[in-house]
Amino acid sequence: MHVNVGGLCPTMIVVGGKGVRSGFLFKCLVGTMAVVGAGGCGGGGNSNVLGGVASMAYISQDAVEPGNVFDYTNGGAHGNIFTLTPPTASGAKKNLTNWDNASINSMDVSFDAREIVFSAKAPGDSNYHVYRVNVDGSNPCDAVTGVVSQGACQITDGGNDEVYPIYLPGGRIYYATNKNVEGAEVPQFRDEYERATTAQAASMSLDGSDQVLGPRNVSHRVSPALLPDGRILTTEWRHLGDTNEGDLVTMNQDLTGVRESFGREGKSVANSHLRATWAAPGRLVAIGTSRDRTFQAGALVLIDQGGTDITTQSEARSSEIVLTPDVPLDRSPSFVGVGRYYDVRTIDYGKMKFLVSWSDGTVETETLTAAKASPDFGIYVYDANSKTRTPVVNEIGTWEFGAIPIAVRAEPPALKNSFVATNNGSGTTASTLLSAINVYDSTMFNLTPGSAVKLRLSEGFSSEEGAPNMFGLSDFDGMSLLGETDIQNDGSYKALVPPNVPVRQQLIDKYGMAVTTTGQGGDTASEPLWIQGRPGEARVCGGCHEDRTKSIQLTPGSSALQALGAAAFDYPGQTRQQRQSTDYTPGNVRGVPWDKALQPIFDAKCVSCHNGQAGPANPSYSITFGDMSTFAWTFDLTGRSVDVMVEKSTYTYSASHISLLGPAQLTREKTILAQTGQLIGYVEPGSAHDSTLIQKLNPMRRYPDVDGNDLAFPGKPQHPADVGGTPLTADEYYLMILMADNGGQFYSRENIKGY
Amino acid sequence: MTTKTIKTTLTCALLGLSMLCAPLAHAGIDGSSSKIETAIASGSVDAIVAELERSENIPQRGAYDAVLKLIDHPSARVREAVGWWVGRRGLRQTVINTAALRLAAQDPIAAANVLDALRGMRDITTLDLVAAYMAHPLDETSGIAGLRCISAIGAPQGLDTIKVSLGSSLAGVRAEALRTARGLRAPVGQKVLTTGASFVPLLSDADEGVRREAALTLGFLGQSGLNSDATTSGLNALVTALGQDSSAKVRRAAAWSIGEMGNIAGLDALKAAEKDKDSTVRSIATAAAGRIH
Repeated sequence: MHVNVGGLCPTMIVVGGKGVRSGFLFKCLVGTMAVVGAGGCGGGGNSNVLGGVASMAYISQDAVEPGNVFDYTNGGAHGNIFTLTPPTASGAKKNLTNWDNASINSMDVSFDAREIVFSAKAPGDSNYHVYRVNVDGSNPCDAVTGVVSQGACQITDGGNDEVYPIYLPGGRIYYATNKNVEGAEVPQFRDEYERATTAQAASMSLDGSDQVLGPRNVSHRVSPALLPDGRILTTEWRHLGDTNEGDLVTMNQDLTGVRESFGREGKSVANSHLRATWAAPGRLVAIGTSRDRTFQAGALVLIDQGGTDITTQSEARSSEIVLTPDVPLDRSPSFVGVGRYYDVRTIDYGKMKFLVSWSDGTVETETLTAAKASPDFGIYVYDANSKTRTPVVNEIGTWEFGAIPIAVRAEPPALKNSFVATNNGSGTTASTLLSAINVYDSTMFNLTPGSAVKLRLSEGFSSEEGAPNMFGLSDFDGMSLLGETDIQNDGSYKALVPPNVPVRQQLIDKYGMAVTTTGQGGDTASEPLWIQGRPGEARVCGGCHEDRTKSIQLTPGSSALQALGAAAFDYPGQTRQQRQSTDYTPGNVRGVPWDKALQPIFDAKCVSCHNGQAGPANPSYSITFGDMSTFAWTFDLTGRSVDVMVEKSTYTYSASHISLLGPAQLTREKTILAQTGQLIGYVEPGSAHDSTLIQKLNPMRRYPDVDGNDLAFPGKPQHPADVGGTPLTADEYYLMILMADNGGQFYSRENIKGY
Repeated sequence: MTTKTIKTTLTCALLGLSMLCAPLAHAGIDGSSSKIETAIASGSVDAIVAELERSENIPQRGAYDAVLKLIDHPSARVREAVGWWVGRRGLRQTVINTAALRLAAQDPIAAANVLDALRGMRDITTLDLVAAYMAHPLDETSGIAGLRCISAIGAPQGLDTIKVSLGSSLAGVRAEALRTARGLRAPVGQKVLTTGASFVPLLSDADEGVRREAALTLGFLGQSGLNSDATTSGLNALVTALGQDSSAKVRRAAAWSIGEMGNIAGLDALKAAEKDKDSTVRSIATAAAGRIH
């Protein structure tokens, strides 16, 4: 239904102060109602709320619960793309797609404003694919061959999804897909919860040919936008350990050079930022919200990237302000007159005017569903100065979102990675080169020069390789050691790693543990961050989270850019499945399967005392839960399979794993009524240094050579030698430390079922 | 508490920005039994799934009974999430026992629902249970649910069930079997599917959906070089389908899959298809031809 409100609109909508509109959800399609901040609702005013832009495009489809902010396959039904020309109440509305039951994911308008690229699940289709349509509704693919036809043309097909397409310079399209760059037979990563298949970066030509699949994050990359300087901005689901948030990253058009943009240094006020777009030099607008339950909607936020261009931008100096201060940043229900915003584009930054999709009232899934209601997103112009909204289009019974002015915009320059890693002189390598000029150069960590002796590189993966739903009693995903390389005297390092693979870097000390430090980065120099590169890409940084504004001079041919002399952790010719331990000695160990790599150590040196028999060596505890059920446990380092009511224990965890990892999980149960004994998390996943187990074992110096007289925790006893037991060997310490630093998982590639 | 949470909390406290500073989400440790139960009471699919995910790593014993009842929730998204959730707890065997009873009974809806839960659980030990049901699925919906369960588990042992399902009298089951074949995980150094020969006849299936999935599966295999050379039946069958199938959806899939194979022997057929009567076939043929070098 096309409603021309005019005099029907009961009053203006004002947020945060004067003239607050109350009440009910009303429907407006008003282009002439530009009475903002002056009270009342009436005609007159600017005849074009988009500042003279002739037309705009938007998506209309049914209401839906779309899932968390990263979900891309739960779009609403009955989706179509419309243009409104001019974008006023009297404008002509044209349906470009004319589908009877499609789901539209998102769209973009070309630089010349002649066509639209979009992702949709067409009627009867199983997947989202990419389509193009001219803004006049004609078929651009046929037009190339001289055929005149109407409707969208499809440029991708197959059994994968292709979503979030945007135009790139040079006749290309960026999009996200769950197709795996590693090949058809290798399952794509699953998300943080080991559930949804992740969407990864990709690009292709306008006609759907020449597809390029980018290096992968461990989880999704969604809702991209192109910045005027040519970089791609996208939201990345960041999870490593208990980190779980949606942050902004940028990358080059050739999918190289993925770099943090915003959200990773404690600057953000919301868990996730999505649908970010450019607002002004060094400024982005985005939706800031909870990860879930808000219909992927939230507050409007303005992000200062810390500088006006890439040479001065630094997430360390970034900040954000909330443009809609009454809108909750978490998942609590929003109020009438406040609502939540689904997307945003800048109309006039100087005047702080934005084209948004907004729904009034409660925009929170639980509350609305209980009331048997849905949010009603419509398109508005938001004035951040006056905190007012001017309706543009809002149809009864459907959502309108994704609005884009159909206007010519400058085509940014094509950007490519300027670095190419080379091998030892025999040609370009297909691996990725990681290197740093000086690891002690950091804005996040206070690192003592000389404290790091090696850099540990590990690859990440998820349960698609055949692991059960969890890798163990910790929040960490699968991790597998690629190798450890020396930190040179000047603080530099370089190493080749497999391309397209998410890699974690950890500085390690002379005891083999992740380096302890102070500073805003945490107490270990192990930022919870995955990095990755394309084949042949060199990822060179100044330091470990160095000042991004500092100029790093690298001359062509610089040794830092060459693979010459780099540690070879790239395993050429091996699939990721094949990167497994040949044995569990240093140099050969990759994953640390608990039952195969660690249990033999417990059996040989621990279980003679720590055998589950209650006593001084085996403390007990019990917990009474809210439902009056109880759980009792006695410390036990044997490898017996335990099927007890530690809720996740049915994955055949050993008693030793439950003893060392289990208590930390139990303390998270919020219905504990009472407990006896002490619950100790003996392993702090991700930090050997902070793990009680490692502190008790008190490892000896490992680098540059083994020294049993130099202990990691001076003055403390070394267990089990302190009670007459057989000391652990240096290699056994190595395995214990690697297990703790890499997450404390029970499962790794070496012991997962399914292979 | 993560470093980020500490920093944000301190910043917010210092600035007095309690209204602006929302607590940051953790990975699966923010939930509670009461929140789960409230979400269930609301009926919101999103809220239920979100609360189950948020309590990923917390036992939440108080919510057990309420969550188990969700196995028969109207939304497959919820049923799948329930399987995922209970599979991490001592409830796993309870659900498997329930599945055994339901799959041996005669209620196809009950069977489909519990198969959705097993899909979320992804427990390789349930493969035999599912395979037994798939020998004679009660209806198409439950048969599809069974195959999706096998796909989610991904173990190569599921191939036998796929082969059985390819001969099903239910078209939806045959089509899903083809999709499932693309989802199995190969053991190290091996391939689950060593030939596409068994899929070629399905390009002549009476059902349009089956023919489309057969074409896509051949293209999937062709990416690995299976049946993609000019002398094998896979590429030739796709070329024939592209030129002759009455369904535009099938011709489109055939064109795409020829592009996936990347063999220049398929280029002429794609060029010819650029003049197909269906505009979607034409555009996909162009995209596919552009991927053959």
